[in-house]
Amino acid sequence: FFFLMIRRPPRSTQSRSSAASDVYKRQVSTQSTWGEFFLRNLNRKGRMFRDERRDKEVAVEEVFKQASLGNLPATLAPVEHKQFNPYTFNAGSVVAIAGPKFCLVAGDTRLSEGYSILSRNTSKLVPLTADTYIATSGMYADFIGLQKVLKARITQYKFNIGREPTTESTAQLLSHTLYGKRFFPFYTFNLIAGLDENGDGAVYGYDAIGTINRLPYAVQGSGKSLILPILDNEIQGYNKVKHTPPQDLNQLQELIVDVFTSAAERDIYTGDAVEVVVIEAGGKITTGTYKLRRD
Amino acid sequence: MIKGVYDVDCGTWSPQGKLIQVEYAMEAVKQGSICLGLKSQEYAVLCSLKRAPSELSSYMDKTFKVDDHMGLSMAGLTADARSLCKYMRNECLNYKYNYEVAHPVERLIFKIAEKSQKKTQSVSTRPYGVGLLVIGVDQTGTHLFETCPSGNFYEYNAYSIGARSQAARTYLENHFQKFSKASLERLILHGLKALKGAVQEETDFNTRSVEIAFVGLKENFTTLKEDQVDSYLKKLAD
Repeated sequence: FFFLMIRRPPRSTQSRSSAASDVYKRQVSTQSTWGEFFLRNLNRKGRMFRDERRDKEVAVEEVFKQASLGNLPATLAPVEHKQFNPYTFNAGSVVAIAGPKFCLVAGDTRLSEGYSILSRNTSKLVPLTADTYIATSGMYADFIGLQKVLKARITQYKFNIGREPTTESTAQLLSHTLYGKRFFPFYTFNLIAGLDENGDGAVYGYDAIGTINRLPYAVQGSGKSLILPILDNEIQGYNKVKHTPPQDLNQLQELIVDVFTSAAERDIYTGDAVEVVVIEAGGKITTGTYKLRRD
Repeated sequence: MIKGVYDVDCGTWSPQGKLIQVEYAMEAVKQGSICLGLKSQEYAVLCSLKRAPSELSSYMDKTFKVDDHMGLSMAGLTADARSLCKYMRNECLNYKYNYEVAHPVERLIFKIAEKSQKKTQSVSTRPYGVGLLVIGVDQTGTHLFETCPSGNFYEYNAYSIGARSQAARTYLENHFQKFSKASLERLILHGLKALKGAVQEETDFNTRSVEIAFVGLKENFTTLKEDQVDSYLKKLAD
């Protein structure tokens, strides 16, 4: 007996009322192959089959007869395609804040998948040049792939131009590397943190396909919606009656640890520890790690 | 030196069994300004003498970094050296990308040799007119290699190529037994002594014309800066 996978054609546009509930009534036939259809209809006397495409009912007997002539009803065996899902979300959160003559970048060190923790101490921050870091949340495999490409391109830049690229150039490089895969994107949500040509902090935020924005501070990842409003409030003074902006590096460092601690309370993907890097002029990089809750 | 009708291209053998074009290419190496290399168990060093095409110009660099663990110096056509260096850099990047380790030195020399050989078996292209001295470190230790326009390559404990290199080779032959356990400083001083022996009276032998580079088992390929070259030249004078 022959087994077939027959593709179910898309349903024609439904009327408004049924469209919403259609999601729940999505008909995935249990008769996924011709063979199963046969087995289910061993006793086919009097049985009816609903031909979706022709929108009418037909005797199962008739279906078999047509099949032997080579006319298979197109909707007999809706295909349950195994979806090719190349992406996964390993999550975590990353934050970057630009200051006068310094830049802060931080990321939690947890890697997750679904409800499981894959690692409690994996860094999301990678130095690309002496004064520029990239921080990424999203899919870890794509992060590694992206990082490798960037590192190779930066080495080429160093050989060809004779010096390291500026933070601005590195930011541009990331943007067009991401856009280069516009039609099969890197599933990464990036931040670039470094020093601009005046020595002041520079932070750039991106989406998965390379939209680039220079910002005073930026957040990406699973804790974004938890952390960003706090930074808006504390740094910019949004929705505050009386605002004193943070005075210095130490206050901002404390703020960063605080926002991660808060995010860890509510976001299951943020936790374990937060790694904070301070980038200052003259290639001075300071790293610190602070504990977060581990549940 | 002109060998008559057998020297027109690489597609012609001479009756003596030589490819005269390749020999001519090796002559270009012999005419180039001198460079030498030597190694110990932990370090490999390159010392080179740079030339300035005229009084008005700067001295042309002869030492190039290929990767963190490898670099080269050359004698002959600088442009050819740059082209080979670009190829080597690219190979090292790709290897690093694919295998996450540094390109093994001998394997890269193989690739250069293969590229060079191809050019000796064609009527339409010319051989490379440059000899490279490549120093590098990998899992098998420190290395010093020479590549030739002929497509041959050789590994050495110490060697020199270019103009008046025989004088330097003589010094190196007499002293190479001391190199194996020598410190980096001693190694560089040996290199400079060998180099000095091959330099004529009227040639500049100063911080602008001398190039020193090294690579170590635990240290990346570095070309010394002018002030560092200066301090070594001062030590040499003592």
